[in-house]
Amino acid sequence: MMRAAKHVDRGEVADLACRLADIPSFSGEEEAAARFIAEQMTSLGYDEVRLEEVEPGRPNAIGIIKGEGSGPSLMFNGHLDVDPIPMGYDRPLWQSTIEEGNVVGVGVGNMKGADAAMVMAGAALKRSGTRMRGDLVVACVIGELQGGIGTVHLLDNNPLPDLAIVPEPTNLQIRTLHAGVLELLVTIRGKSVWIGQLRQRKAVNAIEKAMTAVRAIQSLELSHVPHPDLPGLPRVHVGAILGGLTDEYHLWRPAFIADCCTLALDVRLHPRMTIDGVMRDLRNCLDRIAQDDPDFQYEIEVPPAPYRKPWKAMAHYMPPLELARGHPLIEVTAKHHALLAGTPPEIGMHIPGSHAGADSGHLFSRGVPCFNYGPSQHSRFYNTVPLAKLELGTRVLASVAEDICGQTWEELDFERWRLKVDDGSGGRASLEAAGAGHAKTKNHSDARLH
Amino acid sequence: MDENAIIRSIDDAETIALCKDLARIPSFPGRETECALEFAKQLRSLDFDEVTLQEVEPGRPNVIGVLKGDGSGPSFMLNGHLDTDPLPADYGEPHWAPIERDGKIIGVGVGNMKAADAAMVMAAAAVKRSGQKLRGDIIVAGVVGEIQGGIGTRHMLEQGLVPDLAIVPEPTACNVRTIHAGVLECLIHIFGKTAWIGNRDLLDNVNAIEQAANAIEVLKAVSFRHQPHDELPGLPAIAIGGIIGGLTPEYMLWRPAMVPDYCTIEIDIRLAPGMTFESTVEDLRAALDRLAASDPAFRYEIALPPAPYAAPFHAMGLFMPPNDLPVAHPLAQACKRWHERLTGSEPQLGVFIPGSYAGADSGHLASYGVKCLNYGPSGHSRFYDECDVELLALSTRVMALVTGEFVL
Repeated sequence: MMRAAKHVDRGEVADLACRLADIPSFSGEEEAAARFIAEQMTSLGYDEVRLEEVEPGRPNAIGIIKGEGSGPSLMFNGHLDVDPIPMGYDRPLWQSTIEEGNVVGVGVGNMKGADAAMVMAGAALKRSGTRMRGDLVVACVIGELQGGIGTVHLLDNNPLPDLAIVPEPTNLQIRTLHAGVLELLVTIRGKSVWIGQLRQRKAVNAIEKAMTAVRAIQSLELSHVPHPDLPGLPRVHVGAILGGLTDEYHLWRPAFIADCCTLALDVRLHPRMTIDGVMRDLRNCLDRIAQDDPDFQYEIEVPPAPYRKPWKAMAHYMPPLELARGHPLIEVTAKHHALLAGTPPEIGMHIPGSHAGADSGHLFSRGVPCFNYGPSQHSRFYNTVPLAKLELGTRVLASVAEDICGQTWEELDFERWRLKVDDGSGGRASLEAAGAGHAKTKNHSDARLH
Repeated sequence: MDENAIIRSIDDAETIALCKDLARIPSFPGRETECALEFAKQLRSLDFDEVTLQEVEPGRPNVIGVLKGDGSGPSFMLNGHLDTDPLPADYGEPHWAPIERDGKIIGVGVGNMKAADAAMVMAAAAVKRSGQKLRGDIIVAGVVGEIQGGIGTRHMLEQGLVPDLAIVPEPTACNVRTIHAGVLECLIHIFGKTAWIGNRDLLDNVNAIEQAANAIEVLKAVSFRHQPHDELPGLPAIAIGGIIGGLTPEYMLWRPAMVPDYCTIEIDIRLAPGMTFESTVEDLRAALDRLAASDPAFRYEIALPPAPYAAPFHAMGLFMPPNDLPVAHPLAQACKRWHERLTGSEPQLGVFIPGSYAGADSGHLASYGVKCLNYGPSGHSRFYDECDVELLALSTRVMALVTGEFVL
């Protein structure tokens, strides 16, 4: 057993998770949470702690335990923004509790419990006095729900890590593949006429036309070669709608037929699909409506302008993840999990987690071998993490970091660590189609490896 | 009544100037105050006996101008709204400096109904300037929030200002409109059940937007009980005017990965004369209840009338009743007669298309027992931004003479 894991304290991790969860941090409002976590990393003895502004008032919090540079750098990456609270959530807000062996509070499950785990794993490593060959970078990022704007900024402005773990909810399984996520807006245009003149003038009700589109999209089958591990993908749905007068969506004069209606769509691609294919299917679907109905006019925005009011949808396509089975990072993590848990972890896909996008997609698209391994699981409100899993996850993360950052490249046999794409052509094609500059960043990563 | 003295007291240039003064000031619903203050200033300068600002909401006044009679005749109101319609997507740049072109005044809100507002003010002033003794009061009401359901006029009536007779010079192109629709705007909230898209097959969920699509099919086909009116084939009518759906009643739109659990449809229903608020709502509910009976996942709630201006809709806060004044009523006959005397031709009397499909403050007045009709200078143009100058002059004279006939 590695030494760092012994420096993990269950109560300490749970306490940090609670305190973090009690700071509201919906997307766009993460500053207080980022500052808090930066203060924590400083007081936990991280060698370097930075706040890097992604947008005014929206910093990523980055803590580093410095290595000598002779070994691989490892990043733990977790987001600070939390899901909106849906109807039916009747627990007190911003008052986390520990009950029946769980930490319960807004955003604990996605993913403040995991954020606490990775911060405390770094602290444990520091306390263990391990000789660090490579850096451990703990990145608490903003705006993951907005398409990963925090991680994109992080990767654009810092050296890429050699390896990464993104502890999204996997119930401590090693999730090596997940969906790509495309959010887009479809706007349907109509022609406004006052209700009293419907017999004299031709009106086109954009909302009624949009309903035709809603039905078609809800039953749209995206063309694809099924992915053996992800039979549930692809999928698409209409997630939001707004329609009224003009592209400012005036709602105060329903006597005028609505002339603008916008649908927000969420599309989940499996890792071997391309955006181009999805767009072709979507256009075909809408063009078929237009063929039958010349008054049906639409536009697609993809991805939408960042947070175009009032949508604030994802500003980026989130690329998928498919890390080759047998990658050493998987082996190392599985080994430490098995040692600490007594049973080996499941590896590969995780349902429904593999239907999610995550910042791991951004890391992977730039050539960083990574996967998801986190202590919580998918629930309706994403508001809970079991204490036992939280502790175990923290210990495994600490051990993995000690094992990897504590060794030189020579000791690790670095050729084995090069990124391999499982299904060469398919995977690469999808990444290139995503505009992720895969080839370029892969070269960059190779350069670092050598 | 000395009709020539009244006609001599009308200066059309003055009416046009007043129309332009009002149209220069933007006054969308909720933002009428600057226009109202200008309206009040103009009434004062025309020597109205009383000019009162009657607050409907804080900082949002009706303007009530009174020319006092001795109380021995009926009171006569000229009622026009100061708020104007929204501009649709293809309107282009609004022109806030009204222009005259091809015999028309053109400017935002001129057609509905700032030209008419100017005409009614100058009509009242002309009766006074004619130097004849007023037996009944002439009341000029420049009201706010007509487009929001007539909250200004409703407030005025509730405060006890209820005249005997009234002309509401809504756009009729100088026809005598004694019949118009009632208007019911309401919100239909549809409830879904959220789940994250990746969990859609594992957790039961209902997409509220998909349910809204079903509801809209039903809404378009509701059969409202009514007596068909030969001249009003377009009533009853229903329009789907707005929709918003996302997560929670706050309509969060930023997380489309979640199945939406709340969607609201905003509709506008036009009632035929004779239809009631109650029967309309019953028919609406019956149609939606049938949908609910066939699909247990369909759950809805009607907000009726909507909380005034419930954000983000700001729809009408009130039901607007229809108006149906018998054409034989002396007020309707007086309008027709003076119109004929001045033009040599007969106006339409009764239904006016498409104006009779509109709601108006005349409906509120009628529901308080006021005998009233619509006779105004503008027509129904697409943007309600124009008024024919000749009709403006005609309507000023007809309103002045009809008013004079009752109050002198």
